Amino acid sequence: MSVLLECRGITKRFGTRVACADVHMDVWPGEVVAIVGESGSGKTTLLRCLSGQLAPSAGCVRYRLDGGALTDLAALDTATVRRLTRTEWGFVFQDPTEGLRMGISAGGNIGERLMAVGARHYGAIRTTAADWMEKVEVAPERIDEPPRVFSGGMRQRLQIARNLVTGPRLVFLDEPTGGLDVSVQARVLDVLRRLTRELHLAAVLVTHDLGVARLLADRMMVMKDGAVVEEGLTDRVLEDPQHPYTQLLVSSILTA
Amino acid sequence: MTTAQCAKPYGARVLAVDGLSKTFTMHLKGGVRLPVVEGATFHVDAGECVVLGGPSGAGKSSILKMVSGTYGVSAGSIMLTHCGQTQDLATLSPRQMMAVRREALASVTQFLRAIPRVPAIDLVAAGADPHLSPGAARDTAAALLERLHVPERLWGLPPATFSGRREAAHQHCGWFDLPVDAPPGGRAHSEP
Repeated sequence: MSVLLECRGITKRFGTRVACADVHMDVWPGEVVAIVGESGSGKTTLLRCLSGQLAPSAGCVRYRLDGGALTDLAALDTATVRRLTRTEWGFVFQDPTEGLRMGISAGGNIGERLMAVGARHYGAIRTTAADWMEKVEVAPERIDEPPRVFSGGMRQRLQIARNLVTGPRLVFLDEPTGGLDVSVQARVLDVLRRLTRELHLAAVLVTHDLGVARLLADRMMVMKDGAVVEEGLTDRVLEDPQHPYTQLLVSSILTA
Repeated sequence: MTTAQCAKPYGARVLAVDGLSKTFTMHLKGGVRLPVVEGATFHVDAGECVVLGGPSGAGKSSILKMVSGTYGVSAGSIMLTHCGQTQDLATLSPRQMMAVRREALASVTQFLRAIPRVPAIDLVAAGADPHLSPGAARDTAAALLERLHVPERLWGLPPATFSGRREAAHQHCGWFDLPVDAPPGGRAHSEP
């Protein structure tokens, strides 16, 4: 098994402000890595650099394209990057309206990604879309309804289905349960946990919620002011935090 | 039951802990240093059940947490031999420790921190050999739960709803490698 994505010395500046500084990380097939930290810590900027949405000011991101050699994202043309984001990668936004097309049906949202990879048979696309609605626990009978008539939690699960239907190897998750009520959050987390395990997905998860990281991630990185201050096994970081900031974060968890 | 089924000759050294120490530095309390384990040395051979005894706060659980990688090690070594290969768990990278947990080491704790809402059988099946099909993993899990006398009607429920038998479900399939942290904690003695 070999590394799927690696980044070396990623720095991103906006004007004079440094959003993330000299970040190194590796993502291996089948593992979930969480990036945690408070808002403004640079975690979303890092995620956008990793997923090719933002060009870093310094450093590089390499991805094992089609299972072949590690390729510098900066060296890829836009068409290849677009193909990657539609096939081998998924990106789940905190706000489902960013990741879904609100005007077309739930089935269309899922089917669109299948068509982007060459599926043409309408009946087969519809069947696959219905299967995926079932996998993310949304009633397949509602396949013709648009996302705007679904609840927040269902929209988020639809967004997950849309991303996973093409069998990506790497999924980026940006606060996937951010705007949801706790009970709804739990259901989205359960779906994510089950699917990442079943599909042996690699995922990079950005969250401010240590509970979400505990539930989903194998490893975690803690960011503060744009820098990674600590990283390691999820349970080790949570139970034996070394950095003062991590100790503060862990001691701030509300225990029910 | 683990990925690599290798022979463990009776009496062969499995674990050698030497000079193991742990000190916590509490940065939020003015950097106070809290030594919890100092110079622990012991070994475990194949077929042996070793008890770490001592009063509450003696550091028994901290030792097990260092062995299972949940705590970092301040000093000393933890040599684990598995399938003829010996490695120092105190120095492993997170990914190497993940592999050890998958293949060579299992843990049971009195503090049940099972994933909420996941049925017992799936929880146990998750610890099975990753090469097994989902069906075979469930069969293995079912056999194990039966052996641990967990009534079948409970298999579909999350273990948080269980009584004292809960930690039985908490033992993943790679069970009885190592370590066991006070498993009968909080369990009534009438329950075998």
